[in-house]
Amino acid sequence: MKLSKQVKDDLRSYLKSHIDSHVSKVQIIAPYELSMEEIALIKLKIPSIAKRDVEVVTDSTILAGFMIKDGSRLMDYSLKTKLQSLFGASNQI
Amino acid sequence: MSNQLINQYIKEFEKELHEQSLRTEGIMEVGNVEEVKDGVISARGLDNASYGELVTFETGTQGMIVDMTETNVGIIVLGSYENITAGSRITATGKTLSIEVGEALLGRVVDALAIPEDGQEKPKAEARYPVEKIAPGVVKRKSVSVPIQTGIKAVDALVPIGRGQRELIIGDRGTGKTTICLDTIINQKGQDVLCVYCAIGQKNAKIAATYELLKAQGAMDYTVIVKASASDPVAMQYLAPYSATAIAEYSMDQGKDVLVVYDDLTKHAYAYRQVSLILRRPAGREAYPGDVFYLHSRLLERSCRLSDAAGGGSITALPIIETLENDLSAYIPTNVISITDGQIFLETDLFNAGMRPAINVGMSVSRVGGSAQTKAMKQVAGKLKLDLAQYRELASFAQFDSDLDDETKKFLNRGARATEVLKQQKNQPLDLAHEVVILWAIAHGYLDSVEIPKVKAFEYALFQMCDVHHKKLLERINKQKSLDSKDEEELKRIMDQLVI
Repeated sequence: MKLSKQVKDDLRSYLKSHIDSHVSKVQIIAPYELSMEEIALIKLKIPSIAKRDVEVVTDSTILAGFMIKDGSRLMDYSLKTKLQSLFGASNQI
Repeated sequence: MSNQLINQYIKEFEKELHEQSLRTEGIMEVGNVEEVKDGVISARGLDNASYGELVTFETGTQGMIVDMTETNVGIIVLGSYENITAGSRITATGKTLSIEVGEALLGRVVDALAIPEDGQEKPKAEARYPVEKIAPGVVKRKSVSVPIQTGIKAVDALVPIGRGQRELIIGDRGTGKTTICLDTIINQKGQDVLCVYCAIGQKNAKIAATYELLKAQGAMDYTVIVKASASDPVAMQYLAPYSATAIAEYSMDQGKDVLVVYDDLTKHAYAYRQVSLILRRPAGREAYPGDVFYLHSRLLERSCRLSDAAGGGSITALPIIETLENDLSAYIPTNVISITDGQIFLETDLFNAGMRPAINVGMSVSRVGGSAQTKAMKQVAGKLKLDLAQYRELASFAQFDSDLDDETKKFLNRGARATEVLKQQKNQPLDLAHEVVILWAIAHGYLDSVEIPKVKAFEYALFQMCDVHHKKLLERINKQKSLDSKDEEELKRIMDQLVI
């Protein structure tokens, strides 16, 4: 006996909704308080977080840009990290 | 029934989700430092990192993941951990630990990450080899049949080592273990064998002296020194032997023969014990973790001889173990004895009595044996082994000298002189021809009439005569590696001239 397509689809949507409701919020770390338009623009550019719940955290030490943190995964577009990597690279010369 | 189908579907769904979560460009795997304990960091996060992965700290230092639990990740720091603060970020690199290898490393002193420590420019890398690797399988191997000449009479005659063999050098402190290995390295000049000397947990002064010795003898041209001294972080001491093997494996894969010396594996086991205890792994016998056997077995299994189809290269390993009070039945010595293809046992009593190298011939064994000896050596060494065995049996009777029969006196006589012949100065390895010549002399009784204190003088005179007047004979023996009847007649003539 095999599972029918209908059963599979129902299972899939149920599991997905369950997982989505338990998953943690995505954190956007920005140097200042982001406006709604800015958050929407970020969501547009990065489709993987478009449907997720977003939490904005302000951290002025990142200087400029922003970081997107999802659990232990991080997308780092901050100026601080760019400067740090430059510092590391210049030490090798 | 339907449960099974549902479970199967859920498994497929999980696999799909997992594939989606695999790292894509621009997304980094991060965590935060929670605890810093003596070279071992406990971190939170890094949920999708894998075991053995390289991670980078904010200070630029790198680390390696060695422990993963439900909530925490244990990382050993490959460098200085002094500036790592709690809460700082750790980024996973997505790569398993590997080092840059190549022939440009020859003549250099590098650390456990193959980064040069001698202040000169970075060597050109030819490849990246993983530090941890599964040893070649059974089909890729070939049995050991080519000897590696150590230049030490006692070893080449009685416990011969072949290319691709693992021979353990074991003894108390100060018995000459490192000397045997360094003499072997020095003797590989012109033998087409590359050498890697891995110093684990040693004094920096001793490593400097080793470097100077090898440089003076011209051995650094074909040797790499991998250094993880006593003051280096414990993680580097843990990784150094694996890095040394990776450097050797690169040359082995090119079809070359490599000699690796691990000096010493006892300190390596100490370093691993320290890391395991800090990671709170359960302590077993002598506080070592449960996988201390695997620590050494996976290291030494990578030393082998490859079949011709796989390139024909080989790695010969000379691990060193330091015992306490000659206790061969301690935990680490018994482990490594069961892994290696034989051991050379050095005793303090013999060393103090002036027998140097202090090899206990009775307890030393080479499980490869005669297959790793040249024909010339086999011709002379067989009798020597028998003479020494008989001497050992009768040695206790030596004090009854006047009451013994002639036969026994003969055995004692021969054995005492054989023992004297086997003594050798350190850092003066001999080539095959010289070894064969002196051993031929003792095997055929030409030293029976020489007084024991004069045996060394006889040997010296014999070598002098051969070097000056019989160069061709020596060259022939070195080239053909066997003694034919013509050579033996020439040797008879030399002996008759010497023994007046």
